[in-house]
Amino acid sequence: MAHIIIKLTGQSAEDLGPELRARELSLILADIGTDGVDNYGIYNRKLIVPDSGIVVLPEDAPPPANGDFIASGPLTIDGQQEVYHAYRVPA
Amino acid sequence: MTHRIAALALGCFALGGCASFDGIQEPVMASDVAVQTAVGSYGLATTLERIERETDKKAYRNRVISIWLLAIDTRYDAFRRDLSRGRKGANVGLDMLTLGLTSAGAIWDGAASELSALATGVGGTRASLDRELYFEKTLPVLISYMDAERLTLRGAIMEGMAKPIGDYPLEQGFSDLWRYQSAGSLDRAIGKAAEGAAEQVAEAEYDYSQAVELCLPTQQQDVRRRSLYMRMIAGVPADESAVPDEVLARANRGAALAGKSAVATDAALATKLDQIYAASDHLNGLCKESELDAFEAAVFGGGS
Repeated sequence: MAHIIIKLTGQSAEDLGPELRARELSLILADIGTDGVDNYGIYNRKLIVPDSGIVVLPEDAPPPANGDFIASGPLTIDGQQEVYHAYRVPA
Repeated sequence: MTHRIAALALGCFALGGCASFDGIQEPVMASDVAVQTAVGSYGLATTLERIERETDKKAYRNRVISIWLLAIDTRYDAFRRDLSRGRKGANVGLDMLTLGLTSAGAIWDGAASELSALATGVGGTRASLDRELYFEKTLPVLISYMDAERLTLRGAIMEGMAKPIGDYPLEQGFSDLWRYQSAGSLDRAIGKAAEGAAEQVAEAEYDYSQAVELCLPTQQQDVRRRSLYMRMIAGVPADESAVPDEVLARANRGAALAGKSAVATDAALATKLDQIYAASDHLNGLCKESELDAFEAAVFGGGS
């Protein structure tokens, strides 16, 4: 399946969650990644996406209540590249 | 000479003793019975004609689908049994024959050279058999791919059976049954395995130079964009870029969501989906109220 990669502008994990969700129009988040400078959301085509939110947390943070794991990948925040987890949470 | 014949007989006995080895119990219900019932009494043309006369169409649809599911399942079980028997029977039988021949060679020195040569030949036969049928290590993986896909498709069919006849007509049931049947194929499983491997490689090596840069909507704009998108796929307006209810119905039935295989057989649906995707990609790049107003006017004729 061909991925659609969208460059993200959020500068913190708190900003990135809503931004990742905002792109989900006929797209569904599949993965997250970084090139060491910018961060990216990797999406797949899907006609109907869940009515939900997305939160991004450091890998050692406890998962959110009722959160479903979506993807894990490196993100660059404040110049530091670390692994984060993206979760789908109820709207 | 007598010893040689006895040694060969021992080796052959070792193989004969394992001829009935099987890793799956013999079924009580023969697959042919279910298949004959499905084909004989619940064929496509017969059932499509009869369902029109049925008062409880949903019950009849579910009975037809259940019988076909049983027929497909029994055939699949027979297929799996043959695969398992083919592997275990051949491997264990040939292993035992090799063991028998080499043991006999050790007991009767006079027969050693011939038996060792024969044992080598038998071992080679097994290796050849495995290579040809990719049984040694890949079969369990391929079976798990087949099982997983069958389970997914079966779940979709069961969901469909819970729906009213208008939302899941018998024709759609037969279409899903066909895909369910096709999932029990080694060739298809190999394709899935290769696709999975390719996907993993692709995910590990994203080409970020291909990334799209989009404006970031406010929360209010996000809500409006999402509302426009939902109206678009619900087929509220009647212009060309809108999506008819038929598409949404198909999506709800899982056909569109099932992916390319479902869409590929329906050119009209594929075109409509392409239009939705193009429109949603455009919508994804709008972050001004004026742009959203223009989009709404273009797609919905200015109505709200």
